[in-house]
Amino acid sequence: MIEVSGISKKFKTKKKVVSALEDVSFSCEDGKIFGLLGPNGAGKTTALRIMATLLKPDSGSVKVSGYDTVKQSTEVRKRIGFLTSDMKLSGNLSPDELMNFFGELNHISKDQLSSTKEQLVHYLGMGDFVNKPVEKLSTGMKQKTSIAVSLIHNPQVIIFDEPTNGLDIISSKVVTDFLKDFKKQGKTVIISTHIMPEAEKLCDTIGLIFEGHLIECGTKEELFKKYSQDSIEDIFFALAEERGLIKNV
Amino acid sequence: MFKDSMIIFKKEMKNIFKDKRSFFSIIILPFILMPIIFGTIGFVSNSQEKGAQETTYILQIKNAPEEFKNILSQFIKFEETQTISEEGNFAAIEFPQTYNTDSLEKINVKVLFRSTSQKSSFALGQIKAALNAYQSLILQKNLEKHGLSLDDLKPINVSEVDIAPKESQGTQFLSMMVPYMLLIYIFAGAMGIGMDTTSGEKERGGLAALLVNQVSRTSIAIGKILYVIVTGLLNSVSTFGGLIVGIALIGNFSAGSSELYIPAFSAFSILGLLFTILSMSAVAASMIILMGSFARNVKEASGYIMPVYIIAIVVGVATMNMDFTSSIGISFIPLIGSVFSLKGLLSNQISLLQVLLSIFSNFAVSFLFAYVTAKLFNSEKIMNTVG
Repeated sequence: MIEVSGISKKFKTKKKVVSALEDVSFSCEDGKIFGLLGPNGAGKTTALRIMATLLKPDSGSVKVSGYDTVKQSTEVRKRIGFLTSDMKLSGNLSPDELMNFFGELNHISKDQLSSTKEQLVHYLGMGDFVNKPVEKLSTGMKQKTSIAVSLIHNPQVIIFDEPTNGLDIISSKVVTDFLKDFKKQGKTVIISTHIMPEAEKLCDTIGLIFEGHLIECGTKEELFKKYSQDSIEDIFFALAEERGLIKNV
Repeated sequence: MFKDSMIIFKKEMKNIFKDKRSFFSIIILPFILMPIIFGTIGFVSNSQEKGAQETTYILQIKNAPEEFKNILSQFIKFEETQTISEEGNFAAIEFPQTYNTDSLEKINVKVLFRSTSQKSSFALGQIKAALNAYQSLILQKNLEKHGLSLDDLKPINVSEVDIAPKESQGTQFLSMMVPYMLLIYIFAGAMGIGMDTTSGEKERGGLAALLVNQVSRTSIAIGKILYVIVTGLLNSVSTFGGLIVGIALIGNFSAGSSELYIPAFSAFSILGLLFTILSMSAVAASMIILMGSFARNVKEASGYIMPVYIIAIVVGVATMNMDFTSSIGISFIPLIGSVFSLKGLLSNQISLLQVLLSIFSNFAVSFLFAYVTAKLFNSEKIMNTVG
C-alpha cells in the first residue's frame, strides 16, 4: 500500500524557482497497479523519486506500507524496488554478479539470494545471458537485468519509472506481463509512462499529471464515464488541449 | 557501515579487474611504459653520442700546424677538405696566415660550425677541446724555456670530496624524477576512474539505484573513495616499479654516470615510499571523488578536475629541481610535504618523523574531503539529477 498525501516539490535554479509538484495526492492498494501519466517535465519522475526516498517533499507526505519516506526512509527502502528510466547498465559485471551485489547491499542471506536469483532468472528468461558482461547485452536484456536487480530483495512495492522506455515490442511485453504477475502476487505497483495504450491495458488506477498538478485520478471506467471518451489517450489529449499544452507543442 | 562500504569497494574492484583494457592501462601499462620511455631516451641519446664519436668529420683546416692536427685526431676522426661542405658533419678551423707560437702575441683561431646540426655542434666541442690541449702544449713549451712547468702556474689544486652519506650518493636523478612522475601518475590514474564512479554513474542513472538500497550514503561515498584510492595506489606502485626499471635502463646506457645510481632500499624506505604513495593516492582520490560527486555529468566533472590536475603538474615541476629539506614545517603541507618525503626517502636522508607527518597531513586532508563527499551524498540537491 502506498499513500501520497498533498506532496509539493520546488526546484531552485539560478534564474527561477520551478514548481515540479503541487499538492499531489493519490493512493494505491496492494494487488493494484497505479499509472502516473503525463508529458515530459510534468513531474512524474519527481513524484516517483519522492516515493523512492531519493527526494524529500517540501510539504505533504508519502507512506509506503505505513512507513514515512522521510522519517523512516530505511524501512521504506527495505520494502521498495525502484527502477529508473535513466539507468543504463554498463561495465563488465554479469547480471548474476550484479544481482549478488544488490543482494548484499540489501543484506539478504546467501540462501535467500540464491533462491530469489533462480526465480528471477527463470521468470525473466535470463538463463542465456546471466553470466555475460552487461556491456555485451542488448537493450532488452539490460532492462531485464535492471528489473532483476531492483527486485532481488523481494520488495512489497515496486516503483518503475517508464519501465518499457526504449524497449522493443517483445521486451515490452515481458515487462508488462511481469508487472501483471506482480500484481497477482498481491504487491503494489506504481509506474510512470507516457505510452497511453500500455497504461490503459495495465493499470487499475490512472493519474494524469500536467505541470506538477494531478488533474485526474481514478479507474479507467471512472475516467471514461466522466469525459465521455473510450480511451485514456483521448482523455489525455482533451485535458492537454484544455490546458493549452497542445498549442505550445 | 564499513561492511557496506566494502561491498561497494569489492564490486568496483571486481568490475575494473574484469575489464582487461582497464586492468592493462592501470596496472600493467605504467610498469611497461616507464622502462620503454626511459629505455628509449637512454638508447637514443647513447646512440647519438656513439654516432657522433664514430663519425668521420669533414673539416676545412686552414694554416693549422701538423702538431695541432695530430692533437685533433685524438679527439675526432676527420678528413680534410678544401671547400666549405653542405654536409651536417662539416666544420672549419681557420688559423691566421702567420703566427708565432714562441711569442706572447695572441693567435686568433676561427671555428666555423652549423648550430642546426648536432654533428657539427659535436665537432665544435671536440675542436675546442683540441685547441685547449694545443694551447697547453704551447704554454708548456714556452714555460720550459724559462725552467717552469704548466703546473707552476696553477697555485690552486682542487680535489672534490662528496661528503653526502655514502648511501645517498648518486640518487640525485632518482629523487628529482620519481616524485614528479608519481605525482602526475597518481592524479592521472585517479582522474578517469574517479569521474566514472561518481559523475559517470550519476549520468548512467546507476547512482539512484544505489541510493535506494539499504546502505547509508556515507557508506557508498567511503566505498567509492576506497576504490579510487586502491586503484590509484596500484597504478602508482606500478609506475614506481616502472620508473626504477626505466632509470636502471638509462644507467646501463650511460655506464659510469654517478647521477643514475639506484640505491638498495632499506625496509624503512620501502615502507615509507609505500605509505607516502598511499597517502598521496588518498588525497588525489578523495579530491577527485568530491569534485566528481559535485558535478552533474562527466563533462562537468572534467571541467572541475582539470585545473586540479594542472596544479598537480605545476607542483611537480616547481619541486623537481628543489633539494630535499629537513624542515619539519613543509611536512604539514599535503602533497608538497610528500614530494619532499619521496625525495628524502629516495636519497636516504629523511627522518621517520618527517615521513609520518607528511603521511598524517595527507590523510587528514583526505578525511576532510571524504567528510564533505559524504555530506554531498546526503544532499538531495547534489545527488538528484531531476528538475
